[in-house]
Amino acid sequence: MKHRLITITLGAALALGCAQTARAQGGDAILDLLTKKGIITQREANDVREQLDSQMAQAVELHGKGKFSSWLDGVKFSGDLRLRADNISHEDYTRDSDRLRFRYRLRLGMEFQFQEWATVNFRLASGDGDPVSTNQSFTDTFKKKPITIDTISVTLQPPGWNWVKVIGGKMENPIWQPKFNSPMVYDNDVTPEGVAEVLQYTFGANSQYRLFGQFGQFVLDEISTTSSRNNSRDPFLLDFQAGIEAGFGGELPKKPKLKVTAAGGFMLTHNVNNTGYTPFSDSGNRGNANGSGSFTNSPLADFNVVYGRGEIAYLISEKNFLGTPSVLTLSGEVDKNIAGAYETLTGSSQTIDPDQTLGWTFQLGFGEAKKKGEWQIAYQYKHQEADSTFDSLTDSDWGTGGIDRKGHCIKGAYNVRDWWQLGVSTFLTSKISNRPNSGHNTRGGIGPDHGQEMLRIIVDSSFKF
Amino acid sequence: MKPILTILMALAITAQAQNITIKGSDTMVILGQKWAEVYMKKNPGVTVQVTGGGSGTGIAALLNGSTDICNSSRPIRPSEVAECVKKFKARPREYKTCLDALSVYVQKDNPIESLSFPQLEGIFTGKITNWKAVGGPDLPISLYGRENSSGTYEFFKEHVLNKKDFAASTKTMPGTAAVIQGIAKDKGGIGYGGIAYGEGVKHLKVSKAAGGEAFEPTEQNVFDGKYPITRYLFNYIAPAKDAGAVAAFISWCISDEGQAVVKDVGYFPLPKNMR
Repeated sequence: MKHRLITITLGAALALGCAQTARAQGGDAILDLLTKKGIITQREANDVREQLDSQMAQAVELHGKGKFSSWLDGVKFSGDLRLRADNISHEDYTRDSDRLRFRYRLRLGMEFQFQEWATVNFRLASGDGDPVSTNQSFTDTFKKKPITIDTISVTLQPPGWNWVKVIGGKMENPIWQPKFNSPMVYDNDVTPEGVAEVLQYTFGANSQYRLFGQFGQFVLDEISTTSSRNNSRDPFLLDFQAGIEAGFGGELPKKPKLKVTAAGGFMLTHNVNNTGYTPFSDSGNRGNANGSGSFTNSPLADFNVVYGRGEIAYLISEKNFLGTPSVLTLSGEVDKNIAGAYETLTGSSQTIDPDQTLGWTFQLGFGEAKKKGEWQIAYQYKHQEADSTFDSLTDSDWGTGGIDRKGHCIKGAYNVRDWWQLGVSTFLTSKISNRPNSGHNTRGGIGPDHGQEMLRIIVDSSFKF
Repeated sequence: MKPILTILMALAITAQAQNITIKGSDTMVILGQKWAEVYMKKNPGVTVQVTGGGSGTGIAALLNGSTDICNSSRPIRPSEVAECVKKFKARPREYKTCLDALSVYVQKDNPIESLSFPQLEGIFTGKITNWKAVGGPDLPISLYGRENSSGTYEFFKEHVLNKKDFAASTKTMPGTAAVIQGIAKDKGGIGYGGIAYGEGVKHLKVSKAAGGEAFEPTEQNVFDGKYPITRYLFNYIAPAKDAGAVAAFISWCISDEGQAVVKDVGYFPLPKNMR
């Protein structure tokens, strides 16, 4: 009876207030005062607080149902702008031109949450549609620059099933890769098209372990030509990945002392050797062995890439070091294309250096650049042979984009403000195989070019909003 | 007939057996264990298991359902309440269990008797590094503190250090008992922790303002609001679990009997009107 009386009295009193938060805080203050005065017990205060919360939740729900444009409440906007100076210099500049270009990248994202279980993501980006780059050079006598659709996808997560979601459309890459300076299989700008299923299962006393699986079924092209006998063999890319993330020590699960993430998977293409399919190559991402005869524009065969990748982040001390979190990060990856055709080059116009099917990398980094005053630095060594993975999707900053290169990358970043980051990346790379040049990414092939090194320095100023 | 009766009685007791798990604050581990010991003696059908790990760990355990009760030496944060609302569709239930004077300890031989908040801030942020600067001997100050999952760490940082970071030289100890052990062997040592700990070290008087009157961490000074680093120690519980054996245990902890245990351990009982 006492609960009921207090609830009614408080409810009536608080209904006269305006803001919901103020009402909740006011209710708490009154209940705390009543407890302190010994008028009600802590348990009675808790019972009343729960009843009031429940009444307020019902009122908020009713209010929400009555709104005409409630969908606006579920919209989130985000974006970033990056200004870049990009210098490329070759050891022998008489054979290959050095370049200095100034570029920008703009991304404007919107997220519409229609229901708790359904979200649409939409992002516009600068660039000309290159799958591995949203950069746009300042060029062509002030010509207006294009905007493209970077992502448009829907994510469905059944209510109460927080272990699974399904994504459809042109999406942010759901496949996990460590935070490399230069990623191996997919450039960070790759936004695959198709369907993906993302699964996770969290367990442990402090929810410190997470098993995850990412399965992507992506469309590479829709072949419309009727002249090709292969017109029905549209190319696809599939990626099946499983892994575990584990935290140890520290503040679990959010801020562990040691965090280990490891994943293994299988990336395979289907029908990329269709004569009707020419992989996108504006970025200069070429280097894979092609077929022969009428197949010279297509990759020699489909790719079957088995990979293992991992990252270990260790919080050396709770104290910052020169303003940045004392986090040491070690990451690595090994990729092997097990498609037999690339091991022998049978059926290829390319006969030099078969079995260029291995890629590997490791990286050591320190710090974290997320908030004002924080910085990070990382060194990476990368060795990526010509047929180790599908070259159309690899990092566009490595060399001048593409594959068949080995070398070093050092990257540093400093956050001037939470929203403003300065960064410098240096790539020193050289060609691995003796295969002739087939694109500017493969500079340094046979003859006097072989072994020629390329130095690329990128300076970025990035703004988040 | 007698064996059958014995078996039936054993079965009845087993059927009624209740397990209560408690996880969280290291400061509250000795209190929780004493509560468990006394309560289990009085209620043979109930098993109470108490573990530490820090208040943050306890709240995480509450969220993932791996504990019935969370012991916390700091109030739950708004972000953690929001996570509870998401998970339980209601706020967690909070019970103040007793009062604590968060104490500042030095070695027994240290001639310093009191420190002010500005001095403590200077010492624990590393600006003051020698006892001479606060009227003590010419001796380097050696800092002892807790892990950041500890509620005591957070409370001290927020209320005494004005949210500034602890000096990088602070030795991070896994519990208050370890802080005490370290200081007892270290002439220049200083640390902080609950009032129930502190055998073998000296509890300093503390004043809020520089040059202000310093007060000892006594029960009377805590009730009168004179000692400036006073806090409640809490139990948090998911609303659905606040029933049956768990609710009975919490009610007992804040009853006269439970509060006698509080006093016995070294913390300060809640005033009767606040239970």
